[in-house]
Amino acid sequence: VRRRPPWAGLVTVAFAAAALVSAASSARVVVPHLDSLREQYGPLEPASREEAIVTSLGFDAQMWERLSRSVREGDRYNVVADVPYQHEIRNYAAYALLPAIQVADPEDASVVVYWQEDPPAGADCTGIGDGVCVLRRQS
Amino acid sequence: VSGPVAVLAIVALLTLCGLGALAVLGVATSPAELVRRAGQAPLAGMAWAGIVAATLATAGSRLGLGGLAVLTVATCAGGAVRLVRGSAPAPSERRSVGLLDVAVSVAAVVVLAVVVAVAAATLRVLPLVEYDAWAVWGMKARTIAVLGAADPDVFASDAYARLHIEYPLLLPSLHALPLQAADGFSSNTVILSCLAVGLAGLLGLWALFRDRVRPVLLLPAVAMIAAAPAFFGQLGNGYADVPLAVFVACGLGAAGRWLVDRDTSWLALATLFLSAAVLTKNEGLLFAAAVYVSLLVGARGRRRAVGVATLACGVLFAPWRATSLSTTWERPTTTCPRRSTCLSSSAASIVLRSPRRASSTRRSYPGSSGCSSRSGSPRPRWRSSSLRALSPCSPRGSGCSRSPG
Repeated sequence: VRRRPPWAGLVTVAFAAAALVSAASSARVVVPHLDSLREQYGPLEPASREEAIVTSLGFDAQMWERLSRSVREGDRYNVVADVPYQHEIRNYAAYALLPAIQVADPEDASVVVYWQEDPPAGADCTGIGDGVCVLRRQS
Repeated sequence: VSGPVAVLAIVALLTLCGLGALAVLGVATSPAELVRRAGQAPLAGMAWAGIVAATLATAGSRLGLGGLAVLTVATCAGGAVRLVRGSAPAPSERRSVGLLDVAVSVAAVVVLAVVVAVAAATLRVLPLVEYDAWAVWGMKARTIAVLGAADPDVFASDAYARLHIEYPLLLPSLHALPLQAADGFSSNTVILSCLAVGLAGLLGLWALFRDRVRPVLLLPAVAMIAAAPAFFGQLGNGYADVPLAVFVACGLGAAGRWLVDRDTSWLALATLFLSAAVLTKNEGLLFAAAVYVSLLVGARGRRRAVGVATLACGVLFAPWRATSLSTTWERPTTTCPRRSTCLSSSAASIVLRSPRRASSTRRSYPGSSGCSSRSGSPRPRWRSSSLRALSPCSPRGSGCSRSPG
């Protein structure tokens, strides 16, 4: 049996003490941070919590609710937008409008969302929010 | 069922699956040893089922709840056969426990219990908010859950190319399991699934070393990891970094035990965890390569075993790699749309914007702002990087390539 060197005990105590102090001091940071998050989201209803993304992006939650009802399973949709935050619109749509599939080309879409863009003249584009309308194409 | 119940049920199934995997790999050769090593079961189950689920998703199918049940039964049956045929393990070494061990262990467990309890209570109510969390990991998990696989309409589509489709599918496939079991979609289920992986990682690390390392060293080390601000902070964001870290840590630990104990089953367990790591994030490949190169250097006389393990890891990674290599996406390359004051990416990363207060540039729509800085905007106390994401010129918003969390 290999004997431990005489300083092994000292190293063990030093490591254990350092690790405990580190864990305790980190906990003093982590616990209040987690508490503050819980105070922020805990009182909310589950549906309100789900709107956190929309709120953080600065979108209108009710408008997205109407949009998600307009785009259904099996739809292939395209978002026509030319605003500075157009990628946020498309990215959030990719997440929120599932199981509908986003397509890159409006020509491939069964549903086209015009976001602050004018739909084709004479098209029956259903308004769902301020400057946003949904055009469902006949298959 | 609710999201938390679904996560608990899936973790129970994965733990069973992991027990079977530990027996199949030879990490436990008797029922008593299996009980002693049971702490590694949840993470081993997540790694094994995750690899299968990710491979199936890549192939156009999904593991699903029925598939997970079948996989668990098959793995446990294989494990039972190995346990019956296995030899009796060497009796575990009993160490004398001193007062110092007890005092330090109790203190470490108290810190650990407080942090884990607070984290569990908080993550139970958190939604996905961080940009990468919902845009990359949440979107993929939801896609696999509702479409049934890594549907090419999403995963090979230019329309989704901004959302880091090139990242592998183990974690979204694991998240998709409770999402399928739960009634309705709640983004909190993804976060709870992340929490489960993180806790399984802590437990796995402890179980991996508990018979080699004195509690006076091991428990404070585990408490230190759990209390690190990034640990539960990242898990609460729904990022993949901590899951990757625990797979790598347990893989590295198991590889270390193989070097010391010379028992091939540890190398097999290391390969399981490292294979899960490479299928969690692309960065996992770097960690796995570093481990195998180190083993090749350090394991003289046993390099053939390292070669076989490396090959096994490569074979498990190959389906995803082949798929991602065969898929080309046309990424949007513009950094700013027209009619906006563009900033460089680095400058854009510190731009703050409050969309609700932003003025219109074209019409009276909320959020229609240019790229100019609004340093006076109110800043939510709970997010900083989300504000960077909101910058119209931000790398994420523009589709520029960066590593997702």
